[in-house]
Amino acid sequence: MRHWPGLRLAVGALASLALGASTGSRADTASERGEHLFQAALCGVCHTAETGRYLAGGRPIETPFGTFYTTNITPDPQYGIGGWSDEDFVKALTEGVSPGGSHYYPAFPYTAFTRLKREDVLAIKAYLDGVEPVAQPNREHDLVWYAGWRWPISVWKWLYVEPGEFQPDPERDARWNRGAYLVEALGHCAECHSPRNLLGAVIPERRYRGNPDGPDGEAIPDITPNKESGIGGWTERMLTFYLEVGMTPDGDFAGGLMASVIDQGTGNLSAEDRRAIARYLLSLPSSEPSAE
Amino acid sequence: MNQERRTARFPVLVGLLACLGVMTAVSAEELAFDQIEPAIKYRQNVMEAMGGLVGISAGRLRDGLTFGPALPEVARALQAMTRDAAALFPEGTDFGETEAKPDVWERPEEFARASQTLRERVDSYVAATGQGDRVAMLKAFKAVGEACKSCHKDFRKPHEH
Repeated sequence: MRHWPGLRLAVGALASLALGASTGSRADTASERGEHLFQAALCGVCHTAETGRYLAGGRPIETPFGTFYTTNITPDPQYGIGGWSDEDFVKALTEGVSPGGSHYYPAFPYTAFTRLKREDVLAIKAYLDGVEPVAQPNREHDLVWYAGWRWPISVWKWLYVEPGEFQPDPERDARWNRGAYLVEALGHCAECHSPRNLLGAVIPERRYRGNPDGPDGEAIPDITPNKESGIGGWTERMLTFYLEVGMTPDGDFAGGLMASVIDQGTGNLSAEDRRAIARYLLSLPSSEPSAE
Repeated sequence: MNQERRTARFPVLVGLLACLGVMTAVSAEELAFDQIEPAIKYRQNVMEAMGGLVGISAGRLRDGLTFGPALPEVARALQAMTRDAAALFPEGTDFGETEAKPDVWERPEEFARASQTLRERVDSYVAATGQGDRVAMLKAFKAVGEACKSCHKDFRKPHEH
């Protein structure tokens, strides 16, 4: 390649054109594109502990089933995911299965990541391959006794996970479809913003209607366009601005988990991607006030 | 031996109790018990006023509305509300109907720094509204927002809209 600088430039330009087209940004390398996707998928929000090293895991996630501790996703070969093949990584994200073949608890949102395009999953891996490895062992989850086994998760998956890549809706425009991909596959917004049943699965008919028992004991608001309890009174511009800055239409500011989501995720996306998220969310069916 | 140790403990106990007494006396001096509830309400009113002024700013900067209160005046009103945000959280106002996290009183230096950041950013915002350049105003306004958000993240309990 050294002798063909022109060719290299041309290939690079072509690649960035192709990649740019699918992320809506001017990311150059797979790793840069991966960083953008990594932010959109909010990986860092959970996989970094409050006072811990970047992506070394250990952040507690409190749930009705006990406390989960997120894992080390730095490229450390012993404690992180440094030894993983591309196939291992794709399988973990889209099937919720570890390289050793055991099932992940659905606290890891493979229910959403199964919608990711394979090329996007690999771009995220390319980004993770380049972060600083941290030799920090994973902490064991602290769960209620009946959640201690992993084999029932296969049954859980059979009941509640519909595997498969995101399929765009041909009836809708490109912005809506981009928004749907960002919300459903990458951002996994429904994971926090929906109530769950006794087995910890999102209740489909109440998707996006808020969760009184969200992670860390936070009450998570309804984000359907319900004028009473949701964001029905917000314009697309207000919601886009919120995703960038964190300001609600009444001048209040996001705190808690959502502030992290904005700082590490939506605030770093392209303006076009934020608009797409807003377009999609405001198109969701509204929750009826009587549904609660 | 045992008796001796007990006698040795006695002055320690007295000392501890005295400290407690002093601590109670100090906080009582800062804010009378029956002023705690009013102080929390007072703080919430100031915070709501800040929110209102920020919301008005957004109506102009985000939505492009051009009538109603002039932006430099709105910014100066916000400046009045944010001179010393930390002062709105005196000792003792940590219980009752408040969303303030205990961190406010447990990490006072950090909280004071956050308050100072807010003050500086609002000053820059006021300056920008005096110049009138829309891009610069929006940038300064977003910086104010960052200060609000970062403080809420660290020092306010989860909030329902």
